[in-house]
Amino acid sequence: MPLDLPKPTEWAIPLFILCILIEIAYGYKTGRAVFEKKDTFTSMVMGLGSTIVSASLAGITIVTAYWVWENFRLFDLGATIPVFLAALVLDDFRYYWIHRFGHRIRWMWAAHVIHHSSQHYNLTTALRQTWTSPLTPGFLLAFPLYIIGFEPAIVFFVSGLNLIYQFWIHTEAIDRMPRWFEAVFNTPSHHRVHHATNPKYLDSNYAGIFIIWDKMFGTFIPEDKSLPCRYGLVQDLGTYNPLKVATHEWVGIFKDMWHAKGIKNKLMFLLAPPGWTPDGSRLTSDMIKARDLKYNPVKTPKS
Amino acid sequence: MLEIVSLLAIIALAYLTGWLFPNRLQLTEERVRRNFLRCYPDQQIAEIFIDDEGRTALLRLQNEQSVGLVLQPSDRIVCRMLTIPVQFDISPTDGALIIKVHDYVVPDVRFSIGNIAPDRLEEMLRAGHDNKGGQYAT
Ligand SMILES: [Zn+2]
Ligand SMILES: [Zn+2]
Repeated sequence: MPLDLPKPTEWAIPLFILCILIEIAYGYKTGRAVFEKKDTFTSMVMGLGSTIVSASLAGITIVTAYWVWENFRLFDLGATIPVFLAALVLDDFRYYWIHRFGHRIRWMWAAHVIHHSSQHYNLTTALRQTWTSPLTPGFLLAFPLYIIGFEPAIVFFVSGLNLIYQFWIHTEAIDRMPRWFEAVFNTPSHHRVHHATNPKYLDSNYAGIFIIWDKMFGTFIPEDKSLPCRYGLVQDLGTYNPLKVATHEWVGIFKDMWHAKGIKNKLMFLLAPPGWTPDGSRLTSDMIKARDLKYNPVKTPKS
Repeated sequence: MLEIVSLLAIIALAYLTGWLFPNRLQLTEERVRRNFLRCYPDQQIAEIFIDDEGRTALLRLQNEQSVGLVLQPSDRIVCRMLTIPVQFDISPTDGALIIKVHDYVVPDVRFSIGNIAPDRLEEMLRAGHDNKGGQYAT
């Protein structure tokens, strides 16, 4: 009999709405948070759609996870507090990698790009979630947790907490948290950098809760006060149509694969980083960083 | 039912933000230039045409095989460089050009040409297209 745990994201919704209203009031008074009508609508509709997709697929997700756990688990870990804490940390480690792959493999970017498609950065951006992650292989990254022996209900629970944690960091209203907090946890400052399209900031700060993963794996970039974050995509969307926002990268992949010559190129359009083309006619994030260095060389201090 | 209530709440919240954060920004030459060069730093802008509503700009580039397009669909800016692989069609209507970009996430653009001589625009828009056999649909 699966553990019956609450769904953190469901009981957090009233809190989300309250926080958004507070941020709107704060932004109106101080100008330190900016909203736009169409952008707000699209972000929140993406969030609603995402919950509908997750709810529709909950049955198959649960059955698959329990099948793996019941047939392949190495240990019986039970459901004690230390197990919940270990699950929270390991699930965050899983999140780091799924998120990193989500930026570096176009197949997974097709689902994750939705979260980055707003040119604004406020609490509604946190709700701009994908509708299409079930079409990617990302779910496989949870399997090691079930195989170690974490019961799926515990993994779902801590993943929900992880998502809730990531809500409050989508704001410009908070500048920096205390130093010790910034050192260990993901914060608005770290996550602003993650959402920024400034070449220097691309492909960094993939953390969910703990920023230590980025520091361990070389993807941490601190926010530079002299380089304000500019949000969105390197090629921003001209539309607010939620259906187009949800599907645009899939359409792009399909067109590219359709026209590509040879199986290798077709696969590369799916598996290579976004922006890859056989002839280099588009730019990957690495190429954008290199181009930026050409136009804005790093100034080394005079000796 | 819950979905309908959520949707109504979302619409209400969106209208609230529209009311509290009215969008009065219009395109200016400076904003167009700065944003286009942010997206395409290796391009050189020869001339900028901004439409009467201040929502769309067309850019003549030194590289005559390409045209710059800068849009402001809300309060933020979107840039495209329309080169030969990224094609577009143009059809004139009453005092405006309708630019249909072959890009899934760029809706058709209405470019009001009030005080811009249409032949100058046409000349520029043709420059990138003539070499590929009449894509310019007028
Ligand atoms: Zn991301
Ligand atoms: Zn985010």
